[in-house]
Formats: sequence, structure tokens, C-alpha cells
Amino acid sequence: MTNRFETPKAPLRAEPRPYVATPNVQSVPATAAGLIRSTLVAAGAAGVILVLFWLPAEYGIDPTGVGHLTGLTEMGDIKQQLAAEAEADAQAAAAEPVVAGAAVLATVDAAPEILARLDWIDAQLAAISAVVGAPPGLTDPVAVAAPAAEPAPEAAAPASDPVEAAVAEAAAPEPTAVPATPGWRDEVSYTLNPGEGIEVKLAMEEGKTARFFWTASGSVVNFDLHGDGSGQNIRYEQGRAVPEAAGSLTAAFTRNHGWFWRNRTEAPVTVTLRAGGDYSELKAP
Amino acid sequence: MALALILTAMTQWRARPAFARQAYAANVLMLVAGFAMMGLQITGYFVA
Repeated sequence: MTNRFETPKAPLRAEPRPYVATPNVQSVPATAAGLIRSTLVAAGAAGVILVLFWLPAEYGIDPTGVGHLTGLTEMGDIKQQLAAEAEADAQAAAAEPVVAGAAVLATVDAAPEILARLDWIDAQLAAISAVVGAPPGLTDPVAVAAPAAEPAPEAAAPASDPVEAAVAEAAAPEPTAVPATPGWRDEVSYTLNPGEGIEVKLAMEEGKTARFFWTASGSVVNFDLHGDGSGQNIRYEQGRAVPEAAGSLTAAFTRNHGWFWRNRTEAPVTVTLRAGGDYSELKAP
Repeated sequence: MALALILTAMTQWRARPAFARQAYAANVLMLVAGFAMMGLQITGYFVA
């Protein structure tokens, strides 16, 4: 009786087979215990890297304090902040058409006389714009309708008050276009809370030059002087922790050129920009 | 082309006397990277 499995030439799959080395090619010696130890060492090293450097830099999570020392926590905080802002922007963009539509509807339902009044306000604004030199349409009709929608429900009560309020609110954006200092066409001022940023642009034509001066009012801000529009982008200058700057800006192409400021300090900062020269419009939020 | 270059490089590497040590170290490095990225993803899942 022969056992057909007892053929020495063909070992079973699980049995160790004699390794036939091809010339010039070596195998890598490794034992099971050594492999397990190496794996554990690798996991430990990965954990150390993760906790000390990666989590602070990515998420601002810094249980050890090393991230704070190396400045990586700040980087992570900034990343998280930017992500949150991007998400908020996306949500605002998604919600805006609905809200604006609802506001207009509420206005129509509640008080037709307010609509007539708004038309009158629009006409007044156009007249003011013509005098000041800013193009009409600077104030979006929807933006004008929105503040009016709040007083609308109580329009049946004292009719004059809400309308006056609407006029005041609608007129509020206008003063930015009024020249405040001799020699400058525009002056705008913003107070930025810690971590906040703002973007102010000049609508310029290619090759035209505008003068500017801005100051962080005794504090410092990070800034990025850049231009964009029509698929073009240019970065003129960037700076961190700058108290103020003055100079001229020559547009590399026709579109918007301006500043992005961000307050990276712990306290609110007031940024004031003065601009003059060859630009058509100062676009500020 | 790329594969041919890689094959050549790998074959020459395997012929070197230090190959075993280097290969082992490279594997451990890959393990480190893998664990670190895994941790990052898991943390990201819990943060979000």
C-alpha cells in the first residue's frame, strides 16, 4: 500500500520549501518575532509623529504642547478656520436666493406702499450715485429690500417709522463712496476681530495706477495684495504682521485689484484704507 | 519605460550586499507612514 502523498519531490503548500536563490538575488531574512516587533515599533513611531507634529498641524489638536512651541498648532488652527469659513460661505451662498426671495415676497404681501417707497429710494440712490460718481447698481436692489422686510409686518402701526428706518439702512452703504480726506478718493475703515479677514478691491483698467495708504491703527495685520478676474490671477505683494503700507498699484490686467487683510493678533484691529488715482470703483463689503 | 527603469533599479539594488537591511528598513518606514496616515484619517473622522 503506497501513500501517494509521501512523494518527497513535491512538498505540500504549507511546508517550507528549500529556497532556490537565483544568482545575484538575495532573500531578506526575517523572523516572526522580529516582524511583530518591527510592526509595533513602526506603529509607535507613527503615533509619536502623529501626536507631536501631524495632529497639531492638521487639526490644531495639541495634547503635548510641542505643536505650540513649533508653531504648528497655529497652522492647524488656521486650516480649521479656513475650512469653517469656506463651509459657511457655501452655506450662505446656498441659502441666499431663498432668503432674498422670501424677503421680497413678505414685502409684497405686507405693504405695497413700502414697495413704492423703495422705488423712490432707488431713484434717490441713483441720483446720489450720479452726483458722487459711483456707478448706480452699487446697492443691490435685493440688499435694499432685505432690511425693509423686517419692519414690514408692523407696517400697519406707525407707518412713517419703519420706512424711515428703511431709508436710513438703505442709505448707510453710501458714505464709503464719499471722499473723506483731501487727495484721496475713498477711505474705508474696518474693525477685524481676531482671526477675521476682509477683502477690499479696486476695479481698475490695465496699466492704470492707483495710490494707496493703509494702516492697522497701531496694530499689525497680514495682507495679500493681489488681483483677479476673467480667469486671471496675480499676486503683487504679501506680508505678515505689517503695521501699515503706502504706495502705488499698477494694474496688470483689467479687473479687480486689492487687498486681503487678516487679523492674526489676539485683539481687534482697525484697518483703514485710503485710495486715490486711476480706478473706477472701490469695492468693499 | 517606467517599469523597465524600475525593474533595472530594483534588480541592481537587490544585488547589493546591504539590500536586506535596507529593504527591511524601507518596509518599516512604509509601516510608519501607513500607521500615521491611518491615525490622521481616524482623527479626522472623529473631529468632523
